[in-house]
Amino acid sequence: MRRQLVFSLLLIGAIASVSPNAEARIVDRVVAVVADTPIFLSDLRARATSHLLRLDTAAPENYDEGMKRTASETEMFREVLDRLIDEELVGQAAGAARITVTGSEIDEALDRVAKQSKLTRAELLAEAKKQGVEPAAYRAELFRQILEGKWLSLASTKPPPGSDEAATVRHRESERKRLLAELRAKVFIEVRL
Amino acid sequence: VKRTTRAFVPIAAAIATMLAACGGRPSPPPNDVSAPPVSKEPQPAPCARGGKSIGPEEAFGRRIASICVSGASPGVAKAILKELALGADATLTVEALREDLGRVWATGLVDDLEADVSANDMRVDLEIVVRESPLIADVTITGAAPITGLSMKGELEAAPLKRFRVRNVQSVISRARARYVEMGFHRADVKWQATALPGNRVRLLVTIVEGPRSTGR
Repeated sequence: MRRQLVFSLLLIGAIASVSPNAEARIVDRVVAVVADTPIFLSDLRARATSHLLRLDTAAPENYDEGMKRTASETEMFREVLDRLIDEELVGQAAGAARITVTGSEIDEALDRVAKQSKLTRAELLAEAKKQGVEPAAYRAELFRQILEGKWLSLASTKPPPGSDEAATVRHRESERKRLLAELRAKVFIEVRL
Repeated sequence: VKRTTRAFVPIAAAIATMLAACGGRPSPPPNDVSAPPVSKEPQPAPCARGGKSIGPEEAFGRRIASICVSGASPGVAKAILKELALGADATLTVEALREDLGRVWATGLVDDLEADVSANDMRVDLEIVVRESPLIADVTITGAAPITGLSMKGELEAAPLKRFRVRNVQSVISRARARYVEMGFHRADVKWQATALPGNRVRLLVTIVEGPRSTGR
């Protein structure tokens, strides 16, 4: 437990950009390399923004102890970085398979999500902004989801015949995990946290 | 996935990590890659810093007083500075810095980098700290290599500016394996290892075992 706490503090220290040099502070650096593509601390911070807001707005009783929050942030940054690595892998695999996503596909997805939430497109984007996600970032997230969906449809096996909706969803998730594990095994990945 | 403790570990240790990650074999003693090389080459002078500590949230939005590069030889430092769109008097923003760092990475000259800031009155001094990618000192190919040996050596040595990047080596090795398969050597084994040399250089050794050739009927 103590060891975990020390590690958490070290990790938060790195993310909070505390340089060993007392005068200069790190404002950006490489936190991971996927094949030859770097993931920077700024990428991680940008994607973690909405998650941090969620931690801030979470019920106070969940984070009334500083250490609990520190552990939550550490876990959250790790999860976001893992997600960024997966996205990079999927992006590279989709690129190799010449899978593309058009602007109109993103617009359609945006309208679909808005309709499900009984909002207009503008209201949806405004709501996302309240949660710390800028419209461009929201569209980028939809781009990634559509790209991953297309890649999964192309690369995964079909669910067994007669599968109901729940079984199909489980099969898809299991295929996603399997395919990502395959990509991770093939590609050089280094995490520099 | 390899998790390293922090950037800017000695390059030999970094190579060992990369080799372990990609299936390369560590070099045997006494040239064990885990032993950090002692560079006899003159090291560039560190950037002069006299400013006060400043956090990222305060640094972004301020104007840049100066930019310098540390951790690189003078030639590489100059090449890095050329890649930067940011300059003195420009406003430091997250996006502009991220783009500049991306361009520096894309040169292939460095395998790690970070941006540090310190306050200089109401402006900031920006320091780009890098670790240079090692130079490929030489490439040796052993084993039977009548099909791919010559071109593989050329491809490895022609890596951008003869810099060692794991991805470059892996892609050359993958192409070599594919060529063997096309020629009917379905069990061909192509392995590589890198040995760290003094002066941030590496020696590459590629070992090829062709195996039996399949004949179609």
